[in-house]
Amino acid sequence: MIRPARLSILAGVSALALALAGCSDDGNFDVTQQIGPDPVLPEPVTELLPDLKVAEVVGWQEGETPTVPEGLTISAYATDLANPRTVHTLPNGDVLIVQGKAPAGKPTERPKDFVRDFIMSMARGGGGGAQKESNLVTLLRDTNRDGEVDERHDLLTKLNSPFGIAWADDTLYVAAADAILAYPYRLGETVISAEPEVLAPLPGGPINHHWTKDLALSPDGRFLYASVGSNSNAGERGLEAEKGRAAIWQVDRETGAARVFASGLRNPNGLTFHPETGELWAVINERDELGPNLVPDYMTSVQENGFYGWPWSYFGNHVDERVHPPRPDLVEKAIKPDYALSSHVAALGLTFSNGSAMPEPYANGAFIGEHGSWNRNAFNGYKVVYVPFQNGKPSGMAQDVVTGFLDGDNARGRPVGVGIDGTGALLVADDSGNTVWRVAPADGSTIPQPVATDQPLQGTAPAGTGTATTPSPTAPATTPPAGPGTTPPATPPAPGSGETSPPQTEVPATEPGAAVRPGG
Amino acid sequence: MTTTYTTTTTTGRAGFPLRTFFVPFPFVCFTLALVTDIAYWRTSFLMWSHFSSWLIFAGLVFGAIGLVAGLIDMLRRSTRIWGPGWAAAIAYILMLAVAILNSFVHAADGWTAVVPNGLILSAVTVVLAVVTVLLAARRRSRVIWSIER
Repeated sequence: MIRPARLSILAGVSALALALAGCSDDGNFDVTQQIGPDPVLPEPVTELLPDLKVAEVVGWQEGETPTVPEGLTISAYATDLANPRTVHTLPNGDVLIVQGKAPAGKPTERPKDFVRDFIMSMARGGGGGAQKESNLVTLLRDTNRDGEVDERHDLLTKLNSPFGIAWADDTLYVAAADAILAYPYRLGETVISAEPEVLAPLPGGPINHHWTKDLALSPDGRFLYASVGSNSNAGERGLEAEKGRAAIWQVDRETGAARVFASGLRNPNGLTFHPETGELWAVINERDELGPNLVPDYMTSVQENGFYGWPWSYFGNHVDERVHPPRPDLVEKAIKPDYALSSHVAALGLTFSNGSAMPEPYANGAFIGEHGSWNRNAFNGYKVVYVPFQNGKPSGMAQDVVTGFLDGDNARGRPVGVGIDGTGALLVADDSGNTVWRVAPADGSTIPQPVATDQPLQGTAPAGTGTATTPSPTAPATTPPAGPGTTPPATPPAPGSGETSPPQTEVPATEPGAAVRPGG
Repeated sequence: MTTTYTTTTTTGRAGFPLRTFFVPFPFVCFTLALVTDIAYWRTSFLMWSHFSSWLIFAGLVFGAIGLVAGLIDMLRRSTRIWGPGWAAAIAYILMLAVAILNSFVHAADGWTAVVPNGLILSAVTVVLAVVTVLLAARRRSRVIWSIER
């Protein structure tokens, strides 16, 4: 079967060449019309050859850095990483860098898959040369809190395409491509030698198209939330392949009981609880091949049992005709997301700046890592943007914060995950440039104490004893009592917030793996 | 008035045309692709649409090889007489061109990759396949009956 494979690669190259040559001009469309709560949605366009423009990854030369606006500085926090995608700060200020590559073995279902693989391999690049082995978690320690890494330890290696990570109660949770793994780990340790336990399996291979599983710990410390992306662009692998996918799962940390918390989210990532409201937020990659300006990726608060349309509709009830048979009943139920980020930016990372050291213009809002487009002729994304918030809701236009990832038609790097480090500066994982960037206030200000990525609600008294976060009265009596083991990490609350919001409590799932897909 | 006869006749030393190994593939593949397209249209079951994609792909690969083989046949003295004729060759190339278009249409995702445009193009390729065969058959019988060479 060598010949068809070779020929198909040739076909892929020529298709790519044709696509690059036959540029339909989408430079006239103002992408800012698609940023905000009410994006302009043009009519879907079916193109014979979908637009394709892949930035070849060339890497960062010595001394090159991304660009930041006045009032901020940027420096390389860690280099020589292997596809860093997620940054996570532990309560003691140690930063974990999750590095992962897509799992192998995805079956080729259609001639088109050859073409896609070819394009993706080009986009992933890495600047040539031998690449370091990926799929590991590295710990970075800034002992003297000066913004420079003093110690570096590879905590876990040879993982199965990890992405999400969380820590609670001396346990490190790693979301691999097919399961949430639990490792015993005390803060400060630099080695993990124990074998992991599987807390809960997640929908995995062999297709595992959108394989990145992000993790967030609920503010009360009781649940983990795991994102599971769809197995296709718009359901073209059949609905059976999408069981439990395009969803955010809720997993009980004690029992591993899991259920679908929200669905119809094509490729959710960047799961983060808003530090003031305790609402779960995520960024979602929307579908391709409806034209260069459809469908905008978005950031949204995620409602329990909410259904967000995929694959039947987008941005509320805009029907996608490619999905057959149609389901008007589900389209009607689809929730319109909160904030569009414009089309094909590939938003993958989200973190809130509340409680960080970032200066005033960035003090209350969300940083979003946009990996960058490859299915429109004018690049979109390839930067980190900031969306200001007010009262826990987006309140203004997105502003560019970290740019300069593109160099003409080449990409030096591509941002993915974002987070706040132990000194309150912004970290940006650059999976193509194999670097983690640190964006700090230019005046060098820091926060007095580290704030963990998974933090209890601001204003909620940190739990001193086991009773602090026991379930609210609405929880059923069968809920396992939250002992000392479920105490959230005792980090000090940010000063100045006197409000006390009760921790959210969810009804536990009755059986592990029970997928509750609305109408699906 | 003298009549000259060439030594090559319809019998005897005529070579075997290479293209006959390959040219039937697109005819068969494109016909089956129309069948699987209809199956998808009636059932919404994506397997049929995948079948169509692969059948069009296979038809194009072997069709292209058939085109090259046909050129070789044209250059070989011993097989030139068996040429399908220009009309059939043009119809064949036209069929492949429509199939390329069809493969791009089928490369889209889901229902609209087949209904209606993919289905229409699949039907057009089959019509062109039949036309090609008819033109080639007409030419062949005229050669056999020495009406033209």
